[in-house]
Amino acid sequence: MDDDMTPRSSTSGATWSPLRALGRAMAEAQNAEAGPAVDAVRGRLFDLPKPRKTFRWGGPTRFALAAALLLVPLILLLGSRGMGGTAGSGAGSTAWSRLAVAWGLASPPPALTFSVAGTPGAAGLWVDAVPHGGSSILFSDGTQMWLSGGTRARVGTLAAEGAEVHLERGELHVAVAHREAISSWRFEAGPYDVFVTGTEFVVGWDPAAQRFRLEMVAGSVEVAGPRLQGRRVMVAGQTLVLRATAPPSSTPVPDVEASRASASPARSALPVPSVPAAAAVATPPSGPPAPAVQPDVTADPKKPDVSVDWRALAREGRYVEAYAEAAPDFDALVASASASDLLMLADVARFAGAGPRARGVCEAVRRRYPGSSASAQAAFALGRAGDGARWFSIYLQEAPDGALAREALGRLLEAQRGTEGADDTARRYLARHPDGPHARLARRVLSRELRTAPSAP
Amino acid sequence: MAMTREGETGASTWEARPDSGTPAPGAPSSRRGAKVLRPAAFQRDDAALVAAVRSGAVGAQRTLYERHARHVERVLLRLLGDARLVPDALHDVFIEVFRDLDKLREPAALKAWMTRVAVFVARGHIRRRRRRRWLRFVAPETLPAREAPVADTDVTEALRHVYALLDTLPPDERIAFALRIVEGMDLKEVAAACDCSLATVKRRIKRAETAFLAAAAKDDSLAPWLKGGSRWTTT
Repeated sequence: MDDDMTPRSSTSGATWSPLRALGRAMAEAQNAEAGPAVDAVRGRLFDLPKPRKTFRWGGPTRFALAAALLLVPLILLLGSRGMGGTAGSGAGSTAWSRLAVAWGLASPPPALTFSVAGTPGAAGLWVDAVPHGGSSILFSDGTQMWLSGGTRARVGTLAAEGAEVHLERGELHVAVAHREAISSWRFEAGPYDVFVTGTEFVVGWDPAAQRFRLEMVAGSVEVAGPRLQGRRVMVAGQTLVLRATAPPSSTPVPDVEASRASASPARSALPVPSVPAAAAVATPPSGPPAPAVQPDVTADPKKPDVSVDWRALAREGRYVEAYAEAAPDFDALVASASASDLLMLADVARFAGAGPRARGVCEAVRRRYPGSSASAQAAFALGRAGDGARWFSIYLQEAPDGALAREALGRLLEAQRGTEGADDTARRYLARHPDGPHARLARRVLSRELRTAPSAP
Repeated sequence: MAMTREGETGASTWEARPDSGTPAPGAPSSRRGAKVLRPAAFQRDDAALVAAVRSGAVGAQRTLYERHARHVERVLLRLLGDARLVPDALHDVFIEVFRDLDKLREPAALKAWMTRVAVFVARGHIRRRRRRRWLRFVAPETLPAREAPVADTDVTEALRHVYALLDTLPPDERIAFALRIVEGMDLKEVAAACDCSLATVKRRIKRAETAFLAAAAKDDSLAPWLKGGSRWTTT
């Protein structure tokens, strides 16, 4: 692989390939975008501020405090003499500032800087993304924001550990750099405030519809604003949709995003006021004033709530129903579920007749949890699904004393029946499980009844 | 005793050693001539660099980053197709690299190993993105305009459509296709990067090509690109 930014020549000869030409053009277009990420990540990896030291009430601290107690009166005295003997507040503050300088407390860390699409940005100026394009803002701490088409936002106050960003309209995709130090990022979207510590999310504000939307990708934030009592904590995977005021000439209807999670018991443990959409819609206009806002927090996609449903069905032995429930989000489950859930999912798929998917789940367990007991169990399941000799051997290597070791050895013997390796396996089996269910087969193998290949004449 | 310090560029590391004669051309030297600053040993090759990182040498991690970050960034761009996703992925790759460097058996093959880590990380990002239904946000029609100095609108449009189509492919096939067609790796390199056999990677590329070409032929932005020649497949 070359370090230059051009794709390598093809190995397929001189025939001109439009597909490769397309790929080359794609590579060149991408190369024009390369670079900013390297700079941003360099900042994250190597330029992070040192973590704040934990205060320890140890010997050095005690000594320093004792010294300070002795020095303060002395500095105050010197300060009052410097002011002509008048011991007032000015003298005191001068003395205190000297003390502060002496203790190295007078130099605050520099504020963040930022650039808009590669150009140095200035706080307070609006950034407008073209309607069918977009823009990006990169901060010196590695925090990035992407403005979708038509978005208008500006960076307000800049501090060392964060900034205030005002979103007038549109959508911002924000990735706040993770810092060990406390950050102080705040996003103002219409009447709503989003307080961030280190996370990734998408925040949107539609002033015409007075619609606020927050989609969490990672981490957590707190949201405050109209119709919210205090601050609401939002965590990864949740989406909050709010309407600050009812739009003109329309019945207040809760802005509920369609989601199977809305009625699921697997919703977030956070206190979420939940009003069924149908009930809210049915509220007569003349009745008591219904809240114009019904926050809807959808479930965490990392742990799709459907998992509760399919697992419950699986535990009841209703595998076909469980499989039907899990199927729409099958790939997401395979990519995110725990090892035990994956093993259960593999059983569900297998018993529902979806053999290839069952194998895929087992392979995912092997890939995602290598070296675990679940991985060994997945190997056993893969052996049962086919290619038994290989997978049962792997299981026995990884879990020689596992709960399925006897079964794996017996099935390995079945798979090797008629081959040269069967003798050794049969001996191993009889040595460890002389009364096991495959003992009879092992003895027959050793008695050479089955040592010839079945296809032999 | 050798001492190390960060070089003026912030990217290179220099070693201060007793002067042994004429300084090397271009090497910074102290005014008093007592010591000559030479590039640290791990500046020379990846094996030495890996050893330096493992031993905790000052500046070694940063040198590794400076040497390979652009390559990794480029691979991630090929695989993810969206520059907005690259910083996090790049960050993840180097976190993995610094954490697992002890597991690298052939230090001289550092770059290939890092490519493999980048593929692994990108695959995770692609899967997570699907899981989180990010496509709604990064759908091709909502992707921000490219900010290349000289933006070719046809290419930009094609780029969006290419990755919109790739988003529909299984991650493993998409990755093999991107490495082969966009990055231009040869098949062995793709197989090494994907940590699979040559036969497997050929199969993946073939499937991806078939699916991609079928969809691209119906795509107004991509069809003109594909009408330019008579040969479509590359494997």
